[in-house]
Amino acid sequence: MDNFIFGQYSPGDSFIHRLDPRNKLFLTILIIVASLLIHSWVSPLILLLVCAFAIQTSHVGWHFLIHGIKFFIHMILLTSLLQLLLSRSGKVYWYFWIFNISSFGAHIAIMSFFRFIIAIIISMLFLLTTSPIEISDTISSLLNPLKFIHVPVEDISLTISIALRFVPTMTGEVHRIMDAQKSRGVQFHKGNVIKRIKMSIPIMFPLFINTFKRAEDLASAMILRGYTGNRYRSSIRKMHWHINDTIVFIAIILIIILIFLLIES
Amino acid sequence: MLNHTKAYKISILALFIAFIIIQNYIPLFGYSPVGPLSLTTIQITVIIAGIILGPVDGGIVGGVWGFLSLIKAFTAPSSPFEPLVFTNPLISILPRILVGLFAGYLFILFGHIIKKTSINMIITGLLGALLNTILVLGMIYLFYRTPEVAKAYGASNPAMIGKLLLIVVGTNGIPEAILSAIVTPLIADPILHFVKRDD
Repeated sequence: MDNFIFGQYSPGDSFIHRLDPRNKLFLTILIIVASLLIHSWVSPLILLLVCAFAIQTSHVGWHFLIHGIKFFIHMILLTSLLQLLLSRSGKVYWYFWIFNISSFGAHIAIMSFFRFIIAIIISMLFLLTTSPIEISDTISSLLNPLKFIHVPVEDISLTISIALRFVPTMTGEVHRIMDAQKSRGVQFHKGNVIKRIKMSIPIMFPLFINTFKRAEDLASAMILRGYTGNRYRSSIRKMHWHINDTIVFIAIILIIILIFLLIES
Repeated sequence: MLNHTKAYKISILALFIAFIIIQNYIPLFGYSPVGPLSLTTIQITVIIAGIILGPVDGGIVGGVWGFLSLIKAFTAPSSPFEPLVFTNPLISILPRILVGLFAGYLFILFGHIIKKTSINMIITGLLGALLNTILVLGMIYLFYRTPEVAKAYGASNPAMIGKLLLIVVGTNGIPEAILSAIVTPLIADPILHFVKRDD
């Protein structure tokens, strides 16, 4: 769990951190889609350069990022290797039993390796530089058009932000409850099926009761502050579109258009 | 009084969603390994949400579980089987929504027939977990049976998959159903008293 950084926010004040989260989400999706559509060998290298530039400016740290995605790189390498050895089409260079290396297989393997690497790096960078709260704000701003068909957008975004806010708090609580049970002599890794079933109850039950108590506290706090359902709420955090956002937006779009006009066509 | 306000409904739903997120990402908490098997306890949370918060909220909580297993299949698969199957939303999301929905409706339905709440909860827990297993594996069976899909997934003989899935019902489905039949009433019954203490 410690070397697993997916979805973990790393706070900072870099150029990438300060970009508008809506802009970041849009460009992330755009780069992933572009990486799926390319067929030339040169285009992924350009996109990787863009990723490298983004990592450098985000101050997340190369070591931290690479350490976090090591697991995915192994998985992707394995899939690419299977594709390389098992697909037979075009010119065959080498074969043994069911394995063979063909020109088509090599192309497919290299392309799929680059595609996944780009998608993993760029989505990881988005999650590392955007806090959960910013993500939930972005989701609710994306849902905004649904107001016209009477979807309770404000309620949905409030629910999402409360849920994300309490994940770390409740995680801490789970660990405290587990420690408390351990100190009473409970062993979580031993025993037969019945014993293990019994062990899940002293963890689940306190957590459930606390969940309901916490919901009551939260509800009274909300009511006392004058909460009424599904009205527009002003936010303490405002998302601002700066001049930097425009520059990055235009730059990325230009790069992608150039890739498709000059290299792919 | 508080339990009937909108603020309470939003906060309890949000906290249940947080609960599901934690169960998906903390090892030992959402999935408890018993020998070579890994039994999930997440469907218990969804069934309890269906019983206490009602069918619609149960469905939402189930949908969050499905959505998270979809994301997990793409980003952090725990077995080589996961990215092949759970990347299909019809397998990962739809059955889980139905589990929450059905648990809520079953509890209301059996409430009219069976007077004792705890027995009602045992039945709801058992049927809810079974429904999850049957729907997920049934969907896998449906999608695998066509020769093209089976070939794309690397299985040569579609007839073998049926037998394989029946083994999974025996090793995971039935223990999970027994687990949730035991645990659901033990947790949901006191909580129902706690929630309804003011009424």
